[in-house]
Formats: sequence, C-alpha cells, structure tokens
Amino acid sequence: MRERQIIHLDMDSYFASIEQKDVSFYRGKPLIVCHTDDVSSNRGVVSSASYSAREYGIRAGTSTLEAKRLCPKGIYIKGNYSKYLYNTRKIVEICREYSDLIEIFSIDEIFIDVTFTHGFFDSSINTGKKIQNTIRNNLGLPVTIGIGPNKLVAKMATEFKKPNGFTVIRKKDLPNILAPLPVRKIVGVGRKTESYLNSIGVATIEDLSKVPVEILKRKYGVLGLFLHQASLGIDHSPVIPGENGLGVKSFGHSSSLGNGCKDLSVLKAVLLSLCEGVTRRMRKEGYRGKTITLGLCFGRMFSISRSCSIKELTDITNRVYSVAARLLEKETQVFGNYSITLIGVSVTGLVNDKLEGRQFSIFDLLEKREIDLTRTVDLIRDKYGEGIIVRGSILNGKKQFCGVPGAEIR
Amino acid sequence: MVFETKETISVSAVFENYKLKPTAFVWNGKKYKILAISGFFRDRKGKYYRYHYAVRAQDGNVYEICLSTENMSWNLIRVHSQGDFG
Repeated sequence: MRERQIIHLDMDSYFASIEQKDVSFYRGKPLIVCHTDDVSSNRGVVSSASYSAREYGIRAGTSTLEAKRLCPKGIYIKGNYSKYLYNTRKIVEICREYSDLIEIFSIDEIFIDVTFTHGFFDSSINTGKKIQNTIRNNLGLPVTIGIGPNKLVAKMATEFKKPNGFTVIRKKDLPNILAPLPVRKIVGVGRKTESYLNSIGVATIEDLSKVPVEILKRKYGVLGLFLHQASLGIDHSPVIPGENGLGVKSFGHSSSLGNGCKDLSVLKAVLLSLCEGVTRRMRKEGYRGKTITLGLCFGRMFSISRSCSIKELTDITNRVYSVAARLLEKETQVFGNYSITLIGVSVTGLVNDKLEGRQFSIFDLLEKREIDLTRTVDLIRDKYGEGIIVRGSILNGKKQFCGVPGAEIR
Repeated sequence: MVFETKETISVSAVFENYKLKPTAFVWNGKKYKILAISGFFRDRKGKYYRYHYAVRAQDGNVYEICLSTENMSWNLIRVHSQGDFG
C-alpha cells in the first residue's frame, strides 16, 4: 500500500501577519489584534499577537487588559474577520492546485492529502515548498509547513520550527523523533492529562508508548486508545475535504462579560443574542440540532456546563433560547451569589438537512408562524446585512450591558 | 496610531488588468495620491459586495478605503498613521 503523504499548513500569527502585510510600518513591531468592539477599552481578548508581541508573553486568548499591562507600548487593533476569511479562501485556492483532498481544520490551519498527487510535483517535499512559496509570493504571508505520514505527525512536524518553518518527518524516523518529546507535544494532551501522566512516571512520548493500552483505556476510554496510538505515531484519521461538510459537530457562541454580571434579565438578553447567532449560522449551513448546552464561567473560580436534549431537531432561535434560558434560570438559583464572567451556548446532535434531507414533523406545523417569521428575517438579513434587523430585547440588553465594566457583547 | 472613521470620500480609480485600482482620493478637502495598494479583500453586506483596499499614500500613512456596491460610494474606514512607530 502506498505510504500516506500529509501536509499540514499552519499560518504564522495569522491575523497579525495579515495586518503587518497591509501596513508595512507595523512589521517587526509588537502588534496585537484584539477581538473587541472598542480597541481603546480594555474589553475582549487577544486573537493574534505578532512574534514581537509574543516576546512580552502575549498570546491568543490573553485578555486585552492583561496584554496592555504586559506591553503598554504595543499596537492594538481591532480584528477584521472578513479580511482574514478572504485570505483563508485564497490560501485554499492555492492548495487546490496541488490536491483535491483539503481539510480546513481552522481559519489558519489546513491539512492536504498529497498521497496520490505529489508525484506530479516530484515529491511531497517539493509540493510543500511550492505551496509555501506561492503563499509567500502571492499573498505576502508567512506559513509553516509540516509533512508526515498522517495528520497527527504532520501537525506535530509544524511545531518543530516556526515561523516560516519546514519540517518533514518520515515514517522510518518516527521512533527516534517522537521518543524524547514531552507528552504535551501530542495533539489533544492538555495540562490535566499531562499532569496525570507525569504523576504515573510518564514524561516523554517513549514512556507513554510503554504504558499498557488497557491502563490508558481504563483511565481515558476512547482517548486512551488514541494516546497509545499517538505515542507510536499511528493515526488513521482521513483528511476530510470541505470546511462545512462532514466535520461539523457543533455550533456555539460565547461572550465574555468582563468583570461579571448577576442580573438575570441582562444575562438572558446576552443569551438570546448568542442563540440568535448560533441558529442563524445553523440555518445558513442547513443544520438542525437536538442538544443545547449552556456554559457558564464564574470568575476564575469555576465553570460549569449543563445540557438538555429536546425531542425534535430545531434551528429556530426561540426554541434553542427557551431551553438555554431554562438552564440559566436553574443555575442562577444555585449559584446566584456568584458573578458570571462568561456565558456560552452550543447546539450538538446535528443533522444536515442538505445532506440527509429534511423530515417534517408536527412541530413544523405548530411553530409555523415562528418558522415563517425566522425565514423572512433571514431573507432581510441576506439582502441588507446582519445588523439591519435586531430584536428589541437584545437592544435593551445591550444598553444595560454597557454599564457592566469590562463587558463585551457581540 | 489607528484612527477609525466612516466618512464618504471621493476616489479616482482606473481599471488595470481587469482589476479596479484606486489612484487618489480626497478627504477633508485634501488630495492624497496613492503610491501602493498593500492589501485587498472583498466581503458582502447582505447581497451587496464591498471591495476593501489598504493603500499607502504620499504622506506615508496607510488608509483603508472601501467601495460599496450598494450605493457605489467610497468610504474611508481606518487610518494607520506612523506616529510613534515610524
């Protein structure tokens, strides 16, 4: 059987690099792209930091407040996600010249399966180099390339050298390269898993490969088998073409509430706005879901998530909101004394109507008015843009929310 | 320093190699000659396309300008001035 050749493409500090390409005098400076409504405030989080900014300890996910403390002289700008998406589409167009098996893993990461096409370009290494050079020359953006016999190894390869890195890990070299690496280098191993593994004497990937798979399975279930295989560099997962196709498992939105909020009416307004965003995306992409999950963070103390499944699949804002609001009411009764600093909602248990066909149910008749109204509002938004029509209760909530220090509502 | 705004501006542009290329604009009564286009992207507002350009003007600053096909008007969106960074 032909050995798989997978290229992993990881854009280097992507959003910041795009801004530095557009504005030449930002190059080499600590540039911080923020996810916020107002960059002059301390609200929101960092979505991308240039390599110069990273020297100050600023990373994606750092709060804007903390970033400004770490680097007061940095250049802070508001992110423009339409611009970043446009660039990602251009990168995908370039990748399509080399293979039709392209998986858009995230806005700045792409997997390309060149097993059957690398021969046209001499080798997978040449293919990778051509892709890297074309992106650099045509779009002016730095990119790191990793090549391996599967997705796991290719992704690990990109971690070896950044920015503008190019690393190839061949199957025969796998044991020597992986063995001395810390377990944290395996994709999916976070702080908690690492500390558990360290506590049982597993520090390196070689150590992990010697742990009997039964022990890992007992502790982590399916993830245990994954860890065992990952320690040996085995990964059979295919490159799944498309960005919105089979890979979608959930739709979710969350919003930071700055210093926190206890007011249920304000929280409900934020929740409604989030449900609106989630269901709008679901409808656009033809998905309906059954399980609604509410996520809440209480300061830095603790976070909880609560789920509820409904009988019928839905993509209707009010249906999702009514379930999420009920969960919220229940939790605020229990944790009423604590301020909520982050609220999120997601929908899982998805079915794609475009792929699987839509089955009509009795709820479609019962909720006909609601469905018709939603469809009409969607048509208006398709024609005139998202902000053209907004629920009064969300506007009211936004107004109240502006009073919450350090808050952000999208 | 970044300055955000949304002001309608006058722009002169040419078609070159099947692409629209802004060459100069007038903002607050002052004419700015465009030396280079450093960035471009296209997005949509509803069904209307918007064409965004990052342009470097003679004064050294970078201006983000946008052509909206909704009313065929040009807007100035952001000004990146060299300020302390130059």
